[in-house]
Amino acid sequence: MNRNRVGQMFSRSAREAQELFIVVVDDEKRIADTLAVILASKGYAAEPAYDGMSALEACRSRVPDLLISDEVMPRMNGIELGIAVKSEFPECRILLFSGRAATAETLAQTKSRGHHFELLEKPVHPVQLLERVEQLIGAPRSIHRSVGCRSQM
Amino acid sequence: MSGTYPASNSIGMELINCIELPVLVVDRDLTLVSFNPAAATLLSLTPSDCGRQLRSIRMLAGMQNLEELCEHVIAGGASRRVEVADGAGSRFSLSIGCYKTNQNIEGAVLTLTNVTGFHESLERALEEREYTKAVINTMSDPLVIVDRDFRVQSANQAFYALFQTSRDKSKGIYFYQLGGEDWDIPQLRRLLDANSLPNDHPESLECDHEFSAAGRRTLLLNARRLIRGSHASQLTLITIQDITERKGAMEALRESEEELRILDQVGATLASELDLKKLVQAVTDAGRELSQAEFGAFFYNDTDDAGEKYLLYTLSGVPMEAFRNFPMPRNTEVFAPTFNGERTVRVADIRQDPRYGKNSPHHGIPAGHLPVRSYLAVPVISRSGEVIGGLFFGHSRVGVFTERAERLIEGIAKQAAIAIDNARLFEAIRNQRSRAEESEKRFRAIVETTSGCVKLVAADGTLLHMNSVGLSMVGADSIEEIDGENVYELIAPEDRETYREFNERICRGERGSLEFDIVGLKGVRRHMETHAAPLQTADGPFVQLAVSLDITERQLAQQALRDANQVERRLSAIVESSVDAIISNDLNGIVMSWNPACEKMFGYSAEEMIGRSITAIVPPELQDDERKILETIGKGERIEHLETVRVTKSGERLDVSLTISPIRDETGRVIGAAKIARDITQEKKTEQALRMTERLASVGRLAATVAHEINNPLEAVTNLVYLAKSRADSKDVREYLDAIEEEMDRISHLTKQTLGFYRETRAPKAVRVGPMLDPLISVFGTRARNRGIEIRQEIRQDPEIYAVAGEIRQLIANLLSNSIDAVGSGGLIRIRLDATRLTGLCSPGILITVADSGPGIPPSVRPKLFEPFFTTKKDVGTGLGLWVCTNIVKRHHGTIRVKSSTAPGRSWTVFSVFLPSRHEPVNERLRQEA
Repeated sequence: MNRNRVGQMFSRSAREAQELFIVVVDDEKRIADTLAVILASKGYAAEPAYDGMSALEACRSRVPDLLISDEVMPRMNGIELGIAVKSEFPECRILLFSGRAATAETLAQTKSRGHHFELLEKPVHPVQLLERVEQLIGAPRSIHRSVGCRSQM
Repeated sequence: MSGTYPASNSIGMELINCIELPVLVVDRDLTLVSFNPAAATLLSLTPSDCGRQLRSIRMLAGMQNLEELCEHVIAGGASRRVEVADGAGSRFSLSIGCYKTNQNIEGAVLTLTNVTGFHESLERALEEREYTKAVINTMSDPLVIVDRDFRVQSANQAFYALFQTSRDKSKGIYFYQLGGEDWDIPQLRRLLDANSLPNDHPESLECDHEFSAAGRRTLLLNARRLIRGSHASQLTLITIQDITERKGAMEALRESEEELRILDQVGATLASELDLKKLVQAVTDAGRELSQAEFGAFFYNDTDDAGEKYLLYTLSGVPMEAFRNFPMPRNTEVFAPTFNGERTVRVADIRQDPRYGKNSPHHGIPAGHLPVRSYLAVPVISRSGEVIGGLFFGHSRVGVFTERAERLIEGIAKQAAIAIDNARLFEAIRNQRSRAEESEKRFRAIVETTSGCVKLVAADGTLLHMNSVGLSMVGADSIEEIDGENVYELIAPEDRETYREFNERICRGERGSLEFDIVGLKGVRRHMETHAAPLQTADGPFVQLAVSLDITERQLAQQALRDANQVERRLSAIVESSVDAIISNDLNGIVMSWNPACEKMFGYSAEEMIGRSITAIVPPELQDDERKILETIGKGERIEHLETVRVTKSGERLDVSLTISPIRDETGRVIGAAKIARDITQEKKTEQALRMTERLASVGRLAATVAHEINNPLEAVTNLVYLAKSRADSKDVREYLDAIEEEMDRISHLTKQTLGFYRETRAPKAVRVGPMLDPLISVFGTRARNRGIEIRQEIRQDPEIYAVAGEIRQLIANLLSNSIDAVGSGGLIRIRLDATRLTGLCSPGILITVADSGPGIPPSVRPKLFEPFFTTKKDVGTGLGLWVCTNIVKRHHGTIRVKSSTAPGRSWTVFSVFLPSRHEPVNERLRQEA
């Protein structure tokens, strides 16, 4: 556990410490936002981001339990983001989703370099996504609704 | 037990009592004064022995002069020490010292030390030393022990002999200085360097060294640090083995093995070469290489077609031009031993040879010739003893050719002789055969080009030979038909007897001519004129050689007419048996003939149609067309492959292709039309299907380009609908939203199944299917997991195939997707890869099987499975999945098969796809398409 993470643990509020925090990234704002709202409605703390860098910032401001990211994004793609997040926050789970079939091949290459990320194909139905999220990080611990959304749907 | 006399309690005595060594004290008059318990035990003394004279005490063996010794000591002599034995195998060292009080000698103290063990070990050591010494001295390999400064400590006899020194002369001398400093070998110094020398493992060193007395020797030096006692005294044992002879023997063995191998190789090459020119070149090249000559030549005799011998040569290492201007070597003194096949000549420098330079005009090597110094010449002698030629090798340096080279070249010469013999034999046979073939060919050509019938007939009338003109005259299709038959049977009956007499006359040796009729195998009668001569056969009797001419032109004309009739009959037979409908009608459209195929195709019988208008089978809307057809034909024109529609008796419409030709009378006037109608309904259907396929393919390509873009909005809408549903209060709205979700499900299914992977990577390349499985299974994993379906993969073998990776992925994706849909919920899907060899076609490749535990495919449905838009999944099916699969498999020249069982409770479906590893035409096609 690195020093950074230890520091963050102490700075967390008690409530935050209980919540499962998810960062949702998609360069399509609407997708990121809707997913964040859906996750929040189930009791997860969810924060949307629209590109890799701001997603990384969101992670640094609060350690995420899960990163859900689109694969095809300008500048930093989902795989690069996944690797960056994983290196800073090794405990964080990564879930990629993509509308591009070639992603499967890109992932296979990534796997050969030691990074194994799960990939869902777009469109993924929210019900399925929620099931998968629960399998990965567990059910939300608090029913308290934490809307980290910056935009109102 | 101890005793003292007179009794004493002195501390000294107490001390003595504690000593384990037997101690006895006597006074000046040799009375035993005291003894300690150890002495009591050893000598069986009792306290009463105190006060007794020493001599009255039974002492140990070897103590006879004890009193004398004691007296000597008491008289002020030095202490004495003697060895005694107790008779039970133990030995003691007895020391006698004087016993003083206040400087006065009061008596003597006798101390006994058991030295049995010491003696034994000493003896053993001595024994071993003698033994070791004997062993070392009998060792034939020199052996020396040096100290840390490499001074000789000791050595064995062999060592002294080698260095011509002795124990005394060499001891303490530096090892390097021995033998006139021959042994100052740098490698040896390194080996002996104390730091590098291991304790346990001997270090060996093989070195070549020039010795002033013994010359160059190969030595195997072995050094080992010796440990003596508890501390390392840094002694080093060096053994020296002279392995010069052994090395030499091994080298010789290796060399002769190498020679054998080379000869064997050359022999194999030569044996397989039957072309003489190539063969001698191979021999020369091999020889030059093996002898390490700069240049080599093979001069050999050959015989030309006229049977004259002449000298030929091949060269190696120099171009042919280098020799062109020089005369052939003659039987000079240098060359004679070679050309006469006497012996090998090997000379270190030919210019120094006494045989050299004796002949004019050149007196030695001509100017401009290759600069030969080293010279090696070996005769090549046939098994018959004939000298075929000689192998000559040269080098501009002196003394290049070794004895080994000589041996090798002699070996090659023997191999070459055999190979050349074989090649000549082969060539001779080939020439003979080709000459025989040629004369036979010439004869045949003459016989075959004659316009008459050429035949050979035996005296009994057996036909021995007949040319093709003759065969056609007698109506035989091949010689086999009549070969060996009796020719009399071909003669017209009325001429048969005359011909028999004629034949017999000729076979008696006369010549003659005859006119007669023949009736051929096909019954054709010909009037023949024959000219015959007797021909003597190899085994004696005469046969008739005859040239016959067909002189029945009129008969031929008649025959042609008969043939024409036959053609007509044949034609009508063809019409009758044709599968195409053949109709003739007059210019008014009245049917004149109607073949059985017409009956079958249109349902009307010949009786029904002949005399009736053809319009009966023309659909109402095309009646006008039929009129136009008759007009065209009336003008004498032909209509080919007109695709139109006709109606059968039962009213069914048929797609037909019509070919219509005008029928003319003898004057050339068109009197009607002959029609051939072919039912092309099936072809039309096929063509339509094909067009559909192409359309679908182009749609697929177009859609593939936008498919990726569809998924993103689809994702957003899915999320929005989900959110809307969670906030919808009205039941109606929720139902609408459910409906939207269903429809969207269809859209996503459609894009995934047809376009997801399609045409993703276009260029075919070497790929492996195995690594594609994980990502694919992870893509379908969620869908499968949600339905409780397990996907197992098994990669038995994963051979490389040449394919478009994206298409293979699409193929597997579609099969997996189908299986997931088929299984429904709770089941198992296995995907397996294995290498396969397609029997018969011998095409290796990969076998991909996708098996599921679904309900199976009913047999009625199976034939339609691979058709486009066929689906059993009314809600989500596109009917394109398997059709796309078939197309992909076809493009890769593979096969796709399905097996299924619908047995309740144990139903299953297996799709197996075979893709060949390499199929050049496929690759070509794929590349072109890409």
